[in-house]
Amino acid sequence: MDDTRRDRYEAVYLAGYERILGYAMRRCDSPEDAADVVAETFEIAWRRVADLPPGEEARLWLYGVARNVLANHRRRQTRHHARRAELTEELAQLYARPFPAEENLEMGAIGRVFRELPDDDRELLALVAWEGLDAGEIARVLGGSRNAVRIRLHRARRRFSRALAAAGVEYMPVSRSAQVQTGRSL
Amino acid sequence: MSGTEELVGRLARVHDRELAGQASATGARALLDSIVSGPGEAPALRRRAWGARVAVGTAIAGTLVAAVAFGPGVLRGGGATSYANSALDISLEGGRYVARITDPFADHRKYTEAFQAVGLDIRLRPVPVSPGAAGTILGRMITMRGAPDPGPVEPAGPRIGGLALTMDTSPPGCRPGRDDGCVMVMRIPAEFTGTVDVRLGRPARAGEEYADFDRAMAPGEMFAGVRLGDGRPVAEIAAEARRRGLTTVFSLVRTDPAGGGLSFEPLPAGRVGAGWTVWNAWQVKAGVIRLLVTPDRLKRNPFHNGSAPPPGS
Repeated sequence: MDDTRRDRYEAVYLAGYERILGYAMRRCDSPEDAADVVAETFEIAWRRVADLPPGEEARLWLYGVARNVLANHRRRQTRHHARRAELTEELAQLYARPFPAEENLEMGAIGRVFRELPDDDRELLALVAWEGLDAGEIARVLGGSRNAVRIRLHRARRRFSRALAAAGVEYMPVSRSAQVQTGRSL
Repeated sequence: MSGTEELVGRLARVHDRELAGQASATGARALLDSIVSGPGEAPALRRRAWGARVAVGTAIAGTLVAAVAFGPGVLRGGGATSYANSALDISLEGGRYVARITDPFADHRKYTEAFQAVGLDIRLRPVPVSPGAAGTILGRMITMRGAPDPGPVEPAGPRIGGLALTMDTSPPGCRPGRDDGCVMVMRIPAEFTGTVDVRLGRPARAGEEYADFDRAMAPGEMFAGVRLGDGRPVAEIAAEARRRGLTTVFSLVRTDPAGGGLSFEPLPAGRVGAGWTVWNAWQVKAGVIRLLVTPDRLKRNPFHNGSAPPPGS
């Protein structure tokens, strides 16, 4: 492998690592799974370094790869690679931190409603809220048109709002107006 | 980002900003090395090189974790203990950071920047509200990494190391951004390592929807004085809205008999009968009121949940 390609890959790796680590940690229940997703994503990126798009697009491309890796991983429950032990250990320490949402009853209820959403709704909302992507960027990660993503996102938000309202969830009120804003999207 | 996604954001196990620096952590560097060293290298050689790294990696991972776990507390060591910009000033007083917010409607990045400078993760987010709620706090969410002091939850805020995390105004009861000389004061124990997210009302721009939609019947708001606690006929309340020069929109209230939860579905005015019952009213945006209705009269107001009084009662 020549040095230019290697340098290019390293730049993409360093710029994208934390994003992909966050993506994996937010979707995997164990550090072993998250380590697998991160490692496999970047292994694929190395094999396909010639396909890596330039600049900011590389991040979206990596999200797309990570999404496929995660889907495959869930299907076949890959055995964990011993050679990722070090990475796994590092992630285990990150996982050991208290997870703020679990310490709060209200957030626990919101989390249950969120987990019960259809997979596609959950992933769309997560790409906006967790990865900070807009409709155009999501379209590039998932494929499809920006407009289609906007419509699907609108529906996903509506279903989530209704499910929250149906579950009677409120959100750390200090006053009654701090309730979940179910009224806004109606 | 909508309110929905703000909630989803709170569910994240970790935020990307908390992973800053992970790309240069040992595990990440080792993964990069193992990938770019490429196929064809003798496996035995690689395994030996890897084994040598593990010991170092473990030690460094331990250090890193301490930094992550204690977050701002540790990082604060070399940072500033006071900070000021045009929107607020922060200083360390008796074990607590005291933030005096003089301009509650400033660009929220100014607050973030100031709190970050002293190592605190405190976010003030202005949200659009009716003119009457400008300058008020709509909600706050505190997440703790360490444990708060044991004991009953205090209404003023949690205690960390014996000191309370509080938010007040000075003078008490004044409205920041509206009353002259009114300052919002946050006191955050220096040992606090969690996050605080405050939703602060700012005057809505033309056409912007209100975040304080459920205050329609509060004093000074567009439906002040209207009483809906026992339900009122649509004809009567729609006439009241017309008298006040408001546009009326409707939502059907559905109750879930099992859980008691409510859901709402917008309804065109043409499908709402004059004899239906109005149980609540939300202010949507300037000049628009939403009436929450059911075709039949229910035994009691569905918005009465046992602890809060029914709306407008």
